[in-house]
Amino acid sequence: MNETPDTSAYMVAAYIANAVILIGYALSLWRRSVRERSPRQGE
Amino acid sequence: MSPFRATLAIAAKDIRVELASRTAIATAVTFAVLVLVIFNFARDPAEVSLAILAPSVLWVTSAFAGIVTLNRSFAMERERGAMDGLLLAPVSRSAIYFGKYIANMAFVLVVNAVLLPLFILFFNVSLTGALGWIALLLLLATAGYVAIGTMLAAMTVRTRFSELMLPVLLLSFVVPPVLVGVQATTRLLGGRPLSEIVGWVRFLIVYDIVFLVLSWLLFPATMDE
Amino acid sequence: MTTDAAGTIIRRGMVITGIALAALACVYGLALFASPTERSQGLAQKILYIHPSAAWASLMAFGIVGITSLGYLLMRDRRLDTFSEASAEVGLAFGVAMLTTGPMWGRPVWGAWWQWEPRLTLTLLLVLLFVGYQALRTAIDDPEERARFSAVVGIMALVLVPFVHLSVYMFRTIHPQPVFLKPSAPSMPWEMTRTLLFSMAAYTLLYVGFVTMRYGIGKRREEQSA
Repeated sequence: MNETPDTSAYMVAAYIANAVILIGYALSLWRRSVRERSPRQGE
Repeated sequence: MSPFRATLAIAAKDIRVELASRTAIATAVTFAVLVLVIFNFARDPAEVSLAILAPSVLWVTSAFAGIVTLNRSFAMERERGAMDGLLLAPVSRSAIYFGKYIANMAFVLVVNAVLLPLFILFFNVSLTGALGWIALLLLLATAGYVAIGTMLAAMTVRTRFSELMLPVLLLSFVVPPVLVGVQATTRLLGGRPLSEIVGWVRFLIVYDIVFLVLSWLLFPATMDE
Repeated sequence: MTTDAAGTIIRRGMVITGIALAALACVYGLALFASPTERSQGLAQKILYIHPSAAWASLMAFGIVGITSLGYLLMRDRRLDTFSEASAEVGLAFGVAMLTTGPMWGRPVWGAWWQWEPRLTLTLLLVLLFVGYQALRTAIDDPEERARFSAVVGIMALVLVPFVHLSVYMFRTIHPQPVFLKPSAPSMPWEMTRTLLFSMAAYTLLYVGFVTMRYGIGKRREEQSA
């Protein structure tokens, strides 16, 4: 079998899922850093 | 009280209580029988032979029954609020740990002693010398995860959702001995020579020693300071 | 005027994370546009550039939890517990990434979504354990008890690692199965190696950024509840 199989769908899915997970986690961290700013400092 | 006698006293107390009510062992045995029966029926006899399924079923049932038993380990102390009493008693933490460990081993071994003959019965296992070795493997694997489970149970009994927490935490630790046990059992039931399972047995022994020592060392951290 | 130490840490973490995410984007670029396509696996082979790095980051994160957990039990410095909590969560994030990309690579290459191979199995068990770790932390109210109990689990997890690896390795010598990481060529061309190494570095930096931010968040949470 000399044909290179077309496995692009898996690659795309993996790259997208990976980005979603890591960027999603980064966003969750960012949201938590902003939200938990001490109320005292805002006054 | 010398640590040795203290250990035995604590073990004896737990065993006495359990013998009176037999709830832990009864629960575990019922569970084990149910699992065995279900595994027997929940397969297509033409597709999956008993012989192939047998080792996995034996070990999975044994492990889960063991976890069910361990859940009861400190439950009595929690239910009766007796944890403080145990801690105030003039016994070392080590004595408490080993006492509990011995009691838990006794319970789990009783469950396995009921499980093994039933397994032979349901799965049509021939009575060869291999069975003795399988029993030894079960003993070795059990010794390991009961050591870990005794220590983890002391912790989880003080948390919320304790009966769910213990299995979740313990599961990852149960996998290596069960994996090894299934492989060795498959070989033994297949009539392979003992020399082939030596590596697996050594693994179990090292696992036991490492985790028994580690659990003993970490046990004091699970008790109030 | 209070010095917001936690805030400073978080901001530093944000900067590092930002740089690391930019590096990750470069990895994507290199992987998709500047690396040769492997013949027998097709484009799916490019998952090589994101999967092992996640595994490495996750394992490193969990390993560090084990070390800081031991440190906590020995020194009782609450900061070590805060750091353990941070590293455990970050380890879960990378673990999930690894367990997601793994089957997506495995399916086209091996024909199976899952294989019981050492790295996947180890990561799965560690992820399971550290989900339990998070659940444990949620289920304990007293901070000191929470720190102590978490530390115990953290140390146990670290000691478990070699046993899982060895048992799966022994299993696989009996049941040989396709090895995950080897492309068909006996050695990888430089373009592939370069991208892979860069990816490992980017993920390591991402770990540092994430854990710094998460540590700062934990520290701030503690200061507020004090």
